[in-house]
Amino acid sequence: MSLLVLLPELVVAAAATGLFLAVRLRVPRPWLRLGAFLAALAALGLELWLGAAVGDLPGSVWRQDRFALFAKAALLLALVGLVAAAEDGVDLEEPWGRLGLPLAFVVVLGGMVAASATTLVALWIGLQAASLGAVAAAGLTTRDARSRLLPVVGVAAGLTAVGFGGLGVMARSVWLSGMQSGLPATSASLPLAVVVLIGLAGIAVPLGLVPFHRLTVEGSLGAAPVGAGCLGGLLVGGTVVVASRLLAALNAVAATWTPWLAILAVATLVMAGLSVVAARSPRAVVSWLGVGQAGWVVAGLATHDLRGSAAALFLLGGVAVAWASAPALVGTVEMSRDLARLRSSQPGRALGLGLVLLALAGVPPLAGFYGEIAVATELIRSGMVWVLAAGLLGWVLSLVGLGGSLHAAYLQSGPRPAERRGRGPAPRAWVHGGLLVGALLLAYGLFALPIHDLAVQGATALGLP
Amino acid sequence: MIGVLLQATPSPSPTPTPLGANVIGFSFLLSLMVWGPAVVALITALVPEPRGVRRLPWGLAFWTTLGVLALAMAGYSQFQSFTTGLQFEERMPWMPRLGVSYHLGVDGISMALLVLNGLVFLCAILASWEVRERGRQYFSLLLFAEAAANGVLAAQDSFLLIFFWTAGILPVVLLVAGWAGARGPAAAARLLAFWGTGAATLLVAVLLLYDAAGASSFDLGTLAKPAASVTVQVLVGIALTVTAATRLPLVPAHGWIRDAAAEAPAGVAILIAGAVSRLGGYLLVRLLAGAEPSGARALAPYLGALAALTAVYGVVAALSTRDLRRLAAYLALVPGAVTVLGVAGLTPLSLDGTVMLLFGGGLAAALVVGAAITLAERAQARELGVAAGLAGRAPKLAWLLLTGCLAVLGMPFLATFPGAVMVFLGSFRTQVWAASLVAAGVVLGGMAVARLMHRVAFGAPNPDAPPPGDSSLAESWCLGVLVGALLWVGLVPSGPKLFGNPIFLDQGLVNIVNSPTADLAAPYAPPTPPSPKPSPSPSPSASPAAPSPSPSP
Repeated sequence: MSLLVLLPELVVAAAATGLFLAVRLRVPRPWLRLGAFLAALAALGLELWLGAAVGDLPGSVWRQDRFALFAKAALLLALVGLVAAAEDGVDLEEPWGRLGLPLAFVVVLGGMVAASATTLVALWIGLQAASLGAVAAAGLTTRDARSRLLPVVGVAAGLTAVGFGGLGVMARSVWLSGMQSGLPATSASLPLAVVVLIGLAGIAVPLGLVPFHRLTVEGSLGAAPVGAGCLGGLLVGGTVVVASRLLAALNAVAATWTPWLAILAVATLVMAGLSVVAARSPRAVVSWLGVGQAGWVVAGLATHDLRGSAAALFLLGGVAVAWASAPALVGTVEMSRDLARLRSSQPGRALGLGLVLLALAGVPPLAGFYGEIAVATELIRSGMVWVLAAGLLGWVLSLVGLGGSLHAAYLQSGPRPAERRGRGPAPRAWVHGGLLVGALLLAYGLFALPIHDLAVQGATALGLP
Repeated sequence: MIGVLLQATPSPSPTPTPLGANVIGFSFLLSLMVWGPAVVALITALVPEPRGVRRLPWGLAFWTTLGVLALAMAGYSQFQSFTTGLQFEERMPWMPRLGVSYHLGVDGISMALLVLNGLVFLCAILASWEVRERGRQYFSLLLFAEAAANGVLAAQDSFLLIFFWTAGILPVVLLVAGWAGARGPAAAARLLAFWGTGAATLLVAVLLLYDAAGASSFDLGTLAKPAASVTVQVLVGIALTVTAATRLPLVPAHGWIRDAAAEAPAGVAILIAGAVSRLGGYLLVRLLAGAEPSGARALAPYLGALAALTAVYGVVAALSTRDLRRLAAYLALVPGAVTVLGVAGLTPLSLDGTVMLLFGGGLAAALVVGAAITLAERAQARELGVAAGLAGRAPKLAWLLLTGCLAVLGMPFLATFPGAVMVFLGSFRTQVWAASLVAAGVVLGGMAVARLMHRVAFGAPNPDAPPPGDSSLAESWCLGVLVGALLWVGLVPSGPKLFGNPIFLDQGLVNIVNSPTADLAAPYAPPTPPSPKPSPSPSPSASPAAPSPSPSP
């Protein structure tokens, strides 16, 4: 297998470094944005082109299979969405905000490492790189935010280290393929279940699952918009990649983790729905809608078979794009009623935000809907009706909650555009990167055939039955 | 989408058709009817209104809706009646691993309801002539709602059915939230909660059917084969009943109707009462009675009870309210109740009547709600005591309201009459108590109508009330179209004929809906006694299903 397959990772790493330097050298804002967008687009194109080659690098330390292709493409697409949405975000107006873009590349790089990981160590390193990058991006605003988020990430890293270490000891191998053979179905025991529980608890933190949602929800609320996008779509996407690789290796002992994962999914789905209804700020609505989608993804993984995991991956692609870009589109709007101002001044951005919110709520014809139905189909086929019931309850609640936000944003009378000194009202900005994100979310359903097909190939590559 | 249009294939033509058929051949008629309004809605929402051009959104919406109605009429006139298969069929794979395909098609039932949608949405646009505030949003939402409603009727894949069913919720909810006055947001929240629950239970029903059918295909043709166990069929039936109850609505899932239909502007109320809510009845006919015979038989008494409860509640509420708009909203419950009684009856005759009544009831409900709202707006009052004696000053509106009320009650010469008669005749045999109670509700409804007309139209005018004006040209056209359709189908349900040949390209609603309904009702047909001598004469119908009791001269 050629080393060329590493080119997308190289582009992402180079882009992150280059953007750091560019921020340091005070490169003008438009160039920074353009560079980040082109780099993300180039990495995505290269991944789709070169990533089709399947195989292991010498020593089997790096695997490029269909799962890696799908996961990396999804993360890079989410990165494209985030950079496009951040086009006119307030982040870039502030010195600290400019660092959000290079850190977003770091988060994606972590996810890409995990996607091609063949050992527990590589999985852990990928997850921690993504987590640290996201926390750094989210904690750029204040020292308080940093001091709140870093301990949470530290605890999560510790839990995953203990969990992964325990699994390695019990399976007598750190190789994921070795774990599959080292942990036969007969080895399912209470100590193994405890170790798995600890590892999954560590994963649940960056995944934003209830009751471990502090990092994702509270972190996002106080974070800079691009940082919130990193904590949301990018980090959650990377964590799902880690969870998929790990759970596929543990499939023989699924009894030790399936109930745990299903309970987490149910709690997340119900809590997220209730919280969307109660939320008053659009940032909270975005966070909880995203957490609800994470609940659906985990519910798909909990079916521990090929079709369920494929449905979860299929959903992940759309969710990652929507969730990564949503905070940047919301910007610093504090209350739902203030969205009306956005509608009157930046209709393109407001439209993009509306489409993103609808996608996160699972409303057709946007990306979230297709994935949710795919997961729901697998849940009923697997007999996990109670998880499906929770998912549907959460879905209805999300719809009700979202209805209020949409009404406030698009139907209430907005203020007149601000007067510019002696030049009349400011022109309405129709062109915005949010429109590109909306188009991506619409196209996801239209091209569901090849995307879902690739997700199935990805789940097959994980070796799931 | 281009791929969809290019790969759409026309359906075969099983039998020769009457005069004028096969003149126009569309291979993507249904896609055009579904996606056309959606595309125009998007354009309306995105493109800013140019200065100096007034009512551009209204114009776009009007011509689009008129075009969709023309397409529906073309499909209706070209439809090959007396056949049971799907027509204007389009199919292409979408997510083959999940068994999802882009599959559109219509039988007679869907075709009739597509025409109903076209008429009702056109009237909704006409009734929205006065809407000037945020016109772009209003008309684009209206067009999105039309696209979704047409999609529900044309979908032959249950994934698509859920897709359109769910996609149609938010536009209507936002219309109520944004244009129904101060109580709009609260009414919309309630509406969203009920319809969202209905969508979730529809998803459950479809997933249960999908699982029972081997989890390989979402196609309705596969799922509609009654292969599931009785338990699954009953569960599916319960889920479908909940979905239908939230849409029609049926008591106790009617919590949204009072506010949504009575507070919304006339255009929105018309589309809710006339088109969107009828989809609940359509779902019961298509998926419960048509696909789950064991489940339908088990649930029939409960459906009958729901119908009776709804009819009696609606009429009692109409008798007790003093609000003109709410009274009309309650009266609009009655056709829905009779429709459900027809499903509960589970005889070929009652099911035939149900489909007829879905069409006529939609027109009647839209007319009564639209006329009442317009009258209340003209009188600047909605209290029965204040808005009194209006017939002298607003004669057109008074007579339109009277026609709507009579249509709701199923008077002869109106489109609801044949359907109501068939439902009652068909269901009295199997659901005696429910049919009796619904009939009692209709009789009581006559009292409510008499009270309404006495107080509002023909009683003594209120000297203190401001003098009302009569309906505007747009309103007259809007409500007049509904009256015309009610009379046309009521007078010539099997189409106008000259020396036995159909004219005006109308084959007759009865003939259009007859064969698919007979096919759908075949499991419920009573066993025919063995005849002493087998008759060699061929059946006039090409359908292998039970012969329909409705005449087709």
